[in-house]
Parts: sequence; C-alpha cells; structure tokens
Amino acid sequence: MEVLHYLATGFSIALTPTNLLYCFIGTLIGTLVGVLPGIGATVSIAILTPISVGLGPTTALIMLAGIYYGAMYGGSTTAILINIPGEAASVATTLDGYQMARQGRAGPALGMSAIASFVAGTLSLVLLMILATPLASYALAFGPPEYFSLMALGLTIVVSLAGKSMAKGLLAGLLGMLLSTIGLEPVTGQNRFTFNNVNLMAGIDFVAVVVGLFAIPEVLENMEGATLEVYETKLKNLFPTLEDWRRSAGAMIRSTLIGFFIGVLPGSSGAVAAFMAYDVEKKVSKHPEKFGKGAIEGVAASEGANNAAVSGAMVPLLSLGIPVSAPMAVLLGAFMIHGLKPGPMLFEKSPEFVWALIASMYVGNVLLLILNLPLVGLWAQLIRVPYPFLAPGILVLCLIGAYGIRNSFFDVGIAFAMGILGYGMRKLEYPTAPVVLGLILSPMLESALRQSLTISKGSLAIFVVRPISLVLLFLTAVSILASIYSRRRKRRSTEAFIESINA
Amino acid sequence: MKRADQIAGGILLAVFLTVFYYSTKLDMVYRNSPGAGFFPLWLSVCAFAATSVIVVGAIRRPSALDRPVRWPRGVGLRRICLTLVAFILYAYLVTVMGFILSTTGFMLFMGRMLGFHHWYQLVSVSVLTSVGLFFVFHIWLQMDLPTGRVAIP
Repeated sequence: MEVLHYLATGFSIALTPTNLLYCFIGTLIGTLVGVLPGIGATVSIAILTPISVGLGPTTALIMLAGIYYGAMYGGSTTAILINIPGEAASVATTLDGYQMARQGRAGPALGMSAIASFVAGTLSLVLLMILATPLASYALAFGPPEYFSLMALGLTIVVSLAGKSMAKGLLAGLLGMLLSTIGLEPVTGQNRFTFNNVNLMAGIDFVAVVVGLFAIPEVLENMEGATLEVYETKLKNLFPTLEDWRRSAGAMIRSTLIGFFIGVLPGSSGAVAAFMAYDVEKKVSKHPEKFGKGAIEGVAASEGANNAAVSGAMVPLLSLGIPVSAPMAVLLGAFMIHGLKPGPMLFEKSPEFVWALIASMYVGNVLLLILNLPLVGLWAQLIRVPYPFLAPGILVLCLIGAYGIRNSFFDVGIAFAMGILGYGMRKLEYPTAPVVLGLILSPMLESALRQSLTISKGSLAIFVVRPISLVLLFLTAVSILASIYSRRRKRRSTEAFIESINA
Repeated sequence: MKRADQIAGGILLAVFLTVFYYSTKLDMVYRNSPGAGFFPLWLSVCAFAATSVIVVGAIRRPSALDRPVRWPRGVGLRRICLTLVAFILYAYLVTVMGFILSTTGFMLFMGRMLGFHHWYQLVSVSVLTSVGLFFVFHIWLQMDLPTGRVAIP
C-alpha cells in the first residue's frame, strides 16, 4: 500500500503541465536520436544536461530519462525499414524486422515494435517498483567470475544465430571478439594490433562496424538484380493482425523479464538483453526455422527486452548509485549536477523525486506509444521511395553515422571495409550478427576473465566454486547442448523427408 | 561454394596465424594474471580451429551436394563496382567540397546510375536530401559534419 501511495504522489508531480511537457520533449528527442544512426542516447543526454540546469531537478531528470528510453523506441525504425540499427540495442530487431519489411509487412513490424516496447516498458516499471531494493543487493553479488559466466552464456547465442553452418557462426563470433581486442589494452596500456596507427589505438568503433556489416552489404546485394525491387510486395495491413498478437504475447512477457534482469547487471546493455530474449524466443518457438525470415515474435522479443533493460538499469542507479551503462553514467552526472545523490538514502531523503521519475516513465511510455503508432504509416511509406533515391540515401546515412561518433574519416573507412567484408560473408553464407555479438560481449568477457584469474591467482576453479557462476556455467552448457540437439533433430527430419520423397 | 570456402578458409587461416604471431609478442602474464596477449592468443587458436573445420568440411564435401556461390554478374556487378567507387570518391569529396555539395553530387550520380531519368525530380530530391540531412544533423542535432577545404558546409 505504501508503494501505491508513493506512486500516486509521483503521478501527481509527473502529470503537472511543465513535467508533462518536458517528458514529451525528452521522449521526442529520444525517438529522433534512436531513429538516426550515429547519434546515441549518451551523447544526447550529455548535450542536454547543461541546458537542463535551469529546470528543477525533477523536471530535468524526467526529460533526460525520457531521452534514454525514447531512444530504445526509435532505434527499431531504421532497423526494420532499411536494415540500419539506430542503436546497438536494435541490432537483433534487424534479423526479423527487415525481413518483414521486405515481405510488405513493415507496418505490423513497426506497430509490434512500438507495442512490445510499451508493454515491456510498462511491465518492467512494475518490477522496478517492487524489486528495486532486493535486486540491488543481488546485482552486487555479481563479481568478475559471475560476469564471465554470464558473458559465456551470452555467447552461446552465437549458436542460435549461426544459420546453416555452426562452424561459420562460431567463426563470425570469434572474428567480432578479435576485432574488439584491437587498440590500447585497458589494464597495461599495451598496443594490440594497432601497427603504430594512431587511429587504431582507440579501437574499432562499434557504430562503424554495425553500419558497415548491415547496411552496406544490403545496398550492394539489392543492386545485383536486373530490377531494383527490394520490397517483394506492396504494403499490407499497417497494424499487427490477431495472429501476430497471438504469436507475440508470450514473447513480450518473456522479453520483459529477460530484459529487466539483464538490465540490472552492471556492464550489460540493451543489446545483450535483446539478443538473449531473441535467442530464448527462438528456442521456445515451435517454428524456430521462421526466425530470421520475418518472425514477428523475434521483433517483439528484441524490442521488448531492450526497453525493459532501461527499467532494469534504473535499479542499481537509484538504489546504489551505480550506473550500469554509458547513458546511465551520464544520467548519474545529471543527478549530481542537480544536487541529488543516488544511493540507498535517495528513497529515504527524496521519495517525491524518485517516485515522480518512476511515474514519469509510465507517462513517457504512453506518450511514446501515442507518438509512435500514428507514425507507423508515415515511416512505412519510406519503403515506397524509389530505390535510386533510397540506396544513396542509406549510404549517406552510413557515412554520417560512421563519421559522427568520433568525427573521423578513419571510421568511415572501417565502415566501408566492413561493408565489403559483410558482403563477402553473405555470399559465403557466414552470418553477420555473431560478429556484432562478439564485439559487444568480448571486452566484458576479457575483463571479467582477467579479473577473476587475478583474484584466484590463476586457478580456473573460481568459476565453479561460486554458486551463481556455477549455475550460469551450467545454463551455458545446457544452452549449447540444447542447440546442438535441436540442429541434429532438424537435420535428421530433413533427411527423413528427402528419403521419403525419394522412396 | 566448395572452392570459395577453401579459398576464404586459406585467407582466414593466414590471418589467424598472423594474429597468433602478434599475440605471442604481447605480455602473456601481467602481475600473476593474464596479460594483454592472453585473450587474443586463445581467440586466434579457436578461430584457427573453426576455420580448419570449415576448410576440411569443404574439401570432404561431395561436389554433387555443393551449391554455387551467386556472385554478381553483368549489370549487377557494374552497379556494385560503380557504387563502391562513388562512395570512396564521395567520402573524399566531402573533405574538399563540404557536405551539401558532395552529397548532392553523390545522390545525382547514384540516382542516374540506378536508372532514374527524370532530371528535374533527380536534382530536386538530391538537393532537398542533402540540405535536409545537413539541417537535421548539423543545425538541429549539432553534430559535426565534415566541412570542405573551400569552407562550404
């Protein structure tokens, strides 16, 4: 009852005209930066934090938080329509969302993306209210060995994303992991594979890799045909059908839980949550073969998870003052600027602020749904743009996205090289998504491995003597074995089918 | 696919051997814990093993079960080559002529190359796109876009 009382107070503050206006501005800016590649939520929050000083702390943080979760909403739009993920968290959305767009179902994909984001965003806020304090201590129980095991579990998704050949999927994941080792090594400061090139010392930029691997090969592949018909059919219904709802309902619930609990963990990200939810959905599906070919539940899972991860990330920030991701770190800075100190005492000292922020996230989710659903039709029209304009437009966005993060033409070169690599990988049937997964997980995996072995003085036993780590490693083994079993069963049934035809 | 897998596998094996070699030059141990070379070394070993599996699989695969790689030909190949060259030129020209002029030029060239023949529409869409993107990214979102040497935005 106390929670409901506080929530009611929070709503009374969040729904004042001023706070409502700034919540709308925050979510609108967030949607925009999510849609556009190259400018992320972190940069946007950083730019607007000094401007927000003139506002009161509650109003300012309502706006800045709106940018973060708004970006998660917006990131799916270009991922679905033109195969360019606006945010890292939307990479998993491209796998099925873009295929749906090509089949003339851009509208249902965009609609389901907005609805799944809303449902997961709202449900995860309930979890945030109930579990904030107990979960904060659970997150603290995660040390380097547990992180290593969690990242190992995350890497098993490669098996799911592998496509026809497990070895090729694995190799793609390893390639992504090797790419992440380029640059100055964080502990000793040694140069790794930089060949005395100053640009390489900062490492390979994630956006350049994603833009290169996804967007450029898509454009090149579309140019192969005699006609430039990218989208196979005309636009069908703009909104999800009853069947779409039936297939996606479970995915939304599961992705909310996965996204929220992954989001709580420091170092994890919306991208990891989205990939994990996608993997789980594929495993529980009766038709896993439809994933990657336009399964709407794949879109619902990844979009639900990346939005739920935002609420999850609020748990350690509000309860412990620990930012779990880059946007959260900037948001923590904004808290400080406004004289608020997140941590165990924040709920005691400033309950009005905390509950107003939580209530504003409910309001923000509704605003985002109102903002996004009517726009579905407008965005979907984008695929009607003649390809002679769409193709160069996509390439210009690639240049802006790759250049924009570090203002470097070297990154444009990386995107170009990745584009050619991605095109070659497609031709030789190597999946590209595991490269991105490896690139995301590898730095965390390496850091956790090295810290763990430092603690244990080189003994690998540290990963099995700690209960959480052991459970995660057990889940890793189960995940790998289940995937191998499922692939073998599928192969046997295909062989049996071929034999029955031949007989 | 058989031959392509073998050739690509050969290149990748050489790449991973190179990574392995350079990893051995880095510290393997740092203050009783793994050093900078430890992780990439083991990654390169795993990648080498995975590539070997692909190459051996390709060698052992019966030719009858093989599918050919669908490389682009004719007009498709021409379009892809021209797009790649145009993109490199565009990335260079942005540093000389600035964003708006070079983007307009790139859009014009690509539109024409991809078969759009209505000049009036082509020019207007190219100009509007480049000015629109400049406005959204540079003016509104205050992102740094490349400025040309001739000081044109």
